[in-house]
Amino acid sequence: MRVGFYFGLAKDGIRKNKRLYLPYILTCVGVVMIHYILGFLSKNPFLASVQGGNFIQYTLGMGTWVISIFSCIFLFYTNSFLIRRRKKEFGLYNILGMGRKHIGLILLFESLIVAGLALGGGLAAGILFSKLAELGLLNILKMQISMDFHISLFSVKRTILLYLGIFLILFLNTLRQIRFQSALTLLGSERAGEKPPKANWLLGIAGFLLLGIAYYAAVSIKDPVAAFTIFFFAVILVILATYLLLIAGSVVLCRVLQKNKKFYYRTQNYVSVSSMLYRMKRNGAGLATICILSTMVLVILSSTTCLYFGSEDALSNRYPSEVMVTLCEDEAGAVSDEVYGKLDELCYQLARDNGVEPKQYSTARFGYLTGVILEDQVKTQLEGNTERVLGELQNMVLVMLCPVADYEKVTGRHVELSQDEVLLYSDDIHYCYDTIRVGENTTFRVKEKLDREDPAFGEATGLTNSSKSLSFVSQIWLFTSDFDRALGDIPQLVDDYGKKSLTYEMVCYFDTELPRKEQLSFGSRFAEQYKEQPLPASRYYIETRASQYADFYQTFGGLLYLGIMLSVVFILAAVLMIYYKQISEGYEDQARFDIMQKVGMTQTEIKRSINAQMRTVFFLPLILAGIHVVFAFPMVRKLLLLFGLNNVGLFMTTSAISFVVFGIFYMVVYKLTAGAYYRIVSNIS
Amino acid sequence: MSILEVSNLKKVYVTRFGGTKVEALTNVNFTIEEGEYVAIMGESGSGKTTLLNILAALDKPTAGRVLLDGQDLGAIKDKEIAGFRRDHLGFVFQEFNLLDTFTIEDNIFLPLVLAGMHYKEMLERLVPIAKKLGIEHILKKYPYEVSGGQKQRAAIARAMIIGPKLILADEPTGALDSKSSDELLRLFGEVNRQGQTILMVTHSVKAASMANRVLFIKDGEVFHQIYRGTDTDQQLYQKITDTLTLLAGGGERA
Repeated sequence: MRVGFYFGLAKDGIRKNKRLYLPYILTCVGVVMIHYILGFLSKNPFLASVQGGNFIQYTLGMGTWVISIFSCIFLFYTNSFLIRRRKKEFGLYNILGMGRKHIGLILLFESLIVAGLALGGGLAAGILFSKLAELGLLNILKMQISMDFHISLFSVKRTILLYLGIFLILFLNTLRQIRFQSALTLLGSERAGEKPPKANWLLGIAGFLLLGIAYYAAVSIKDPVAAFTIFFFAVILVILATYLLLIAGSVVLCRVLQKNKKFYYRTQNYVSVSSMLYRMKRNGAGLATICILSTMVLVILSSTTCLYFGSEDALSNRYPSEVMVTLCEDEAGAVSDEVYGKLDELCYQLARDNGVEPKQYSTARFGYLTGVILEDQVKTQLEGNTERVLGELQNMVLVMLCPVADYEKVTGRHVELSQDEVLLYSDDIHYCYDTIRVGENTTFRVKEKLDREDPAFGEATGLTNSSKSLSFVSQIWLFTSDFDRALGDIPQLVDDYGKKSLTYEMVCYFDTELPRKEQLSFGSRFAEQYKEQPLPASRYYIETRASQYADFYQTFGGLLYLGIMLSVVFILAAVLMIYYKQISEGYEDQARFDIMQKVGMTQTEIKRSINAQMRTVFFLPLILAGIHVVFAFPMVRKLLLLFGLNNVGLFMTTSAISFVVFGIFYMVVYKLTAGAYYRIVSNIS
Repeated sequence: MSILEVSNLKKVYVTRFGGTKVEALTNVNFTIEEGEYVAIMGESGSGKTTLLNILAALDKPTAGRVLLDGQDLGAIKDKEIAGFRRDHLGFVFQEFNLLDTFTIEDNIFLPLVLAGMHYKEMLERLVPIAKKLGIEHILKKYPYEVSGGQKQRAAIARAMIIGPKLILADEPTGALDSKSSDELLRLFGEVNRQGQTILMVTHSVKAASMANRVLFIKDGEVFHQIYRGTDTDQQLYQKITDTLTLLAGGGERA
């Protein structure tokens, strides 16, 4: 057997079908490249050495897995398309006397060539661009750059193994398809008669219902914790609904239009509606995939850019004051007036010693516990009742216990409270009961509900407006007469893990209004000096906003970077699918185009009809993706709250920009691929 | 009055590379009277398809003139040509050329819909034709569900429904078995007897022997023609066979 001959045939096969293979190979190169780069960065020793690098590398490592799984599914899809187009050729080889074995050999060589080009090109491009990618990442993270260049053997090995594996599976799958079909079926497979699509009302309606449920879930979500759990549920529903709608729903719609004789038998609708029926049947799944890829790109891009550009915002939300000194205690006795007063004096003094006149200076002390609010009771234990946990997570509250004396001091108001009476303030929950029970045995009477807008309240608690709006767990503040004794058995409460629920804190906050660098050095000097004469406390923390700055940028920058990388891969995939869709439609329309012309349609009539169909089919996924994004907006916004971001305007802007940029890109792809389509269609006529 | 007048028709193709000229039609002259049933015979490469394409206004002649119902095809503007073709010509093809996305009924309606006719009127036209062609029971089916003979009958219905001046049939029996062919030719004869003018291009002696007149084309020219006169199908068949033998032998003009 002359192996070289078959190798030649394989080479020719690819070259003659370069209209199909070139984009396929280029996409493979792109995916391999990004896979290598992500692997390279996730094991990059320099990145590991910088602060916060671990988190980024973990995120990028996850991204590598996402790309691995995605490329497997995606290459499977495109490869099956390629094989369908080429079955005729294999049938011809078969008739000319080539055995299955020989055809298998040709296929093997073809797979080897494609794999070689994809891996060779992809790795070369990956290695070439890896430094650029690293610099890009470091720039996004606002970190110092290093100039050394190296190749990650780990990533090379992983990439080669993964993609060789995928190509092997693809090869075996093709072999299986060729093996079970006779030469004649192979020859005729492109022209096999096709049944007209049946309208499946059940699936069509199911699609609408699922989409409705998913949209309702996304829109009606109130708090971020629930958004997190519902998000995946909604995503799966939307994916299912999109497939159902585009595969079955579109056919149902066309059938309904056909039933309307007046509408259907009109020149401009006649050809379009009945061709659309077939187009949707063949392309429904492809269009749904394109739609979902577009939606993913849009959601990823809008949210990660929003996080990145909003990190300053998120930072000041999370750290309302530039400097925060916190003393933690487990026992109520330790939170004495004496220590509280000393903390106040000491912090003020230390700040001034370091040349800073503290602004927005305030102190607060409280005991806090987290629990679940059920009507007028706050429970610290869920008693392992897991079915209820999901529902109860949404009822999570932070109960803050505060001495009424502090409130009086700030407001100058005198409040007469007995031991079982409290002043109550709640931020999110509209609390409508007259009593509140904390744990099982301690019940307070609510003497007065405080006004949410009371400025004195903010001063008394150190709670600024921004942190109020940020908190995704509702807060209930209770001002009690006697911090030590009035709490009943609250200090003994434990959570599900047997840990004590109540923690005491004394906090001092202030702003320095220094630039970030000086703020950092001020913070370390402040901490040094505090360490020399510490106040009695079980634990203490001194945090400055500036010291958290790098952390925030690294977290959000890493996410943005991964978002961009994933978007590139998804876009590559979407573009290739669009291209293949256009080409396969071109081949299918070729014959139809010819017949219509013979039967008496003018070129312009045909062109107009085909243009209309193409546009509908083409922009349907984009429009649907746009609607998906609009409905996902409230949910994603809640998710961003989890990251401490509450800037709706910014998120709207990044969403709008993402959509416009993506839309323009989509249009360009349309123009380019429509050209390929027309070249094919006009070949025959 | 003659429906179709073809005079001094000439068509020269220039090959894409090298510019070699190929003469497909050198000088074709013939006329077809209203109500005639004419078959055109000729070997592959004799110029039949080129002639048909020019008659269908799908292609333009290099020289010469085609008058359809007194209208010069060459004088019709490009924009109007499709409409003209739709209104005056019916086509029947070897490969049926039914659109697989339409039911049989919708395929037949196609030229009417393009002409902007109302559904009710279309239905009124369809009923008698469908009955005559025996396809009433398959109107709601799709092309892939019916036999070749049925597809061709549907194609004839599509050609007839506009009431064309002339039906152009290109090898209409080419893709059919002998039983379906006979049935189809019988239908053609019947349609013709009711006054429909038919021009059929064919290889099949049997098909040609059903016509009133047979034209033979060789090397781009009308080489010979036979009128039926009072001959039976059988006698005409014999005459055609003789002529073909002569043509194949490269003999003199009979």
